[in-house]
Amino acid sequence: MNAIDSQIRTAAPLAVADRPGRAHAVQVDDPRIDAMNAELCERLDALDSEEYRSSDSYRVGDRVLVSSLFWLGLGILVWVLTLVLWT
Amino acid sequence: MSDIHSRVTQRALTARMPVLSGERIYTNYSSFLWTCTAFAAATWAYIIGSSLPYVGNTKAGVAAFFAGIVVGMVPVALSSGMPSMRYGVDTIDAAKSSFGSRGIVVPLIGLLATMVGWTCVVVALTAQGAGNAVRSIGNEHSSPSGLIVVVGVAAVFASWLVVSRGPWLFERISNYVAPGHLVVAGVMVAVLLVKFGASDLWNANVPADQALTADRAKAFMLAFEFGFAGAFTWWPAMGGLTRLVRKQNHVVGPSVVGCGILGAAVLSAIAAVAAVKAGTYDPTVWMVTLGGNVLGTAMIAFLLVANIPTMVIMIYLAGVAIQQIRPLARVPWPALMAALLVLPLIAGFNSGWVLANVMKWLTYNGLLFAGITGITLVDYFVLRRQELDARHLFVNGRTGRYWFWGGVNVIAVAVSGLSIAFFLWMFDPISLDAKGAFRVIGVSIPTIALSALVYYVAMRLIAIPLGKGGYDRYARQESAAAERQLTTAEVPVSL
Repeated sequence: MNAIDSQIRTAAPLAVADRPGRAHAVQVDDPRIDAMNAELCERLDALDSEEYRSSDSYRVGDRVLVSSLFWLGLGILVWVLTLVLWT
Repeated sequence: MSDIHSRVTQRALTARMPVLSGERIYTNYSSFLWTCTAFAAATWAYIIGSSLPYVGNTKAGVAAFFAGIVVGMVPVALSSGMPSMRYGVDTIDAAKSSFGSRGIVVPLIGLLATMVGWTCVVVALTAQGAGNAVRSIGNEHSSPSGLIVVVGVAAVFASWLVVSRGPWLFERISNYVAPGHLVVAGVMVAVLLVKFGASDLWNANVPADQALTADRAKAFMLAFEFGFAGAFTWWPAMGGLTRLVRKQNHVVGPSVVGCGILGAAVLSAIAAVAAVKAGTYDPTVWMVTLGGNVLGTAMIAFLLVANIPTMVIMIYLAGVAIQQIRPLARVPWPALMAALLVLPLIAGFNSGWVLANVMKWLTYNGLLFAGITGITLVDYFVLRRQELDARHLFVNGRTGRYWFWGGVNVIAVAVSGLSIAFFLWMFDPISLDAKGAFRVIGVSIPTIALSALVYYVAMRLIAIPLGKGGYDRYARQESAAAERQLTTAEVPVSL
């Protein structure tokens, strides 16, 4: 059901390989774990792919900085105004 | 084929595997906003709100709480939410880049304690709330203990039913529950306006002798800290949710507006005024007192049912994170969810004890995340410039980039410990004793800033020069500098 055990078991020996995470480098007896390794590797490969790197999930959002500064600014403005008006 | 694909996706969503862009369930701003709102808008928002008038001025308390939670949610959303969102991994996996493959046990314990602990509290609030509602409506002296237990157990069972299906169902439910909270809030405002009038509500305050302190600057910072410290509670939750968000632009705004403003500040403001006018902190009592038996009961019923999505999300996040413990990763998802709900189930049988004891402990538990927020913020944005090696987040050995010293970044762990000590030295959250500087800057901001600064300096002076932690950017800079030096030295010779 869950792939974590396989992830951890495969990841340690794979780190020695040139491409950590590669399924073909793994030596496990359990075919179910092997399948999960392959799935994890596919996902990690997908994260490295050009398609993912050009997606909105990976690319730094153009509004992240503006949004963060806006909310910080609003919070600080309310902070200062309340202090000035009340204390 | 599509069945196989959906099973694979389901497994990714309920396990620690990276969730790919196309699998993510929050595809627009509003869907994540509603989940954040439904998550935050539990009974606790009303109870926190009822404490705000005790800073001495209800309006100032509400404004300070708003400022605190808005300012606090930004670093929390950035430090916990952004790395998880970019790589589709859970908060704890993302934190390996700063704490190490084994050092993540520190935030993991904090996460599990927070998620399971608060689930126990919400179960207890739901159970006690049902009992209080029946007592208020029937004008009885004590709450029916049998009903309290039944409601507590039923809430736990309902949570299990929903969370066993993975995150799909709570995303759907949140789309109805969150707007429902806003409707209830609107009805409460209307009831208050009709009963008391705008002017009376505007000046609703507790008697001066009941205020926590006569010092206005300290009182303001207390309310500010109620908000800011509340934002810390979202650190363990945020990454687990943002790995399900498709676009980076949809992380900060919905987090601040949903968890901070709609789910907390708005409800707390209404609760603050209602608590003063009704003379009790308990929303299950003042809703009946102010709204009458029929309307009050309807609102309480919604409020109690709406606690279930909050519990579901917390247990889901705990379920994903706890799979870092290898034997538990083999347990089927529904059984894992059932195991995590054992303590909340016990809380359902002992709700009075839970409310009397667990909440105090959780007050201290939240402190851990002040330092962690500073550490993860500076590590991801400053030291790593938003670049992680996703493969090595799954490497648990000395060859992994995030192995540091024996799997632990001792600097991050030490700074976390120091941040707790510093926080408690400046401010005791139970007795409310504080150092002088608290009146000016509070305690959360200096704790985050100090943690970030100490971590940055220690990493630049110790870990990075020793080649620990896979900070390739600095290694590349050094080799480029050495190459430039070599080239410069060669130039005169060649001439």
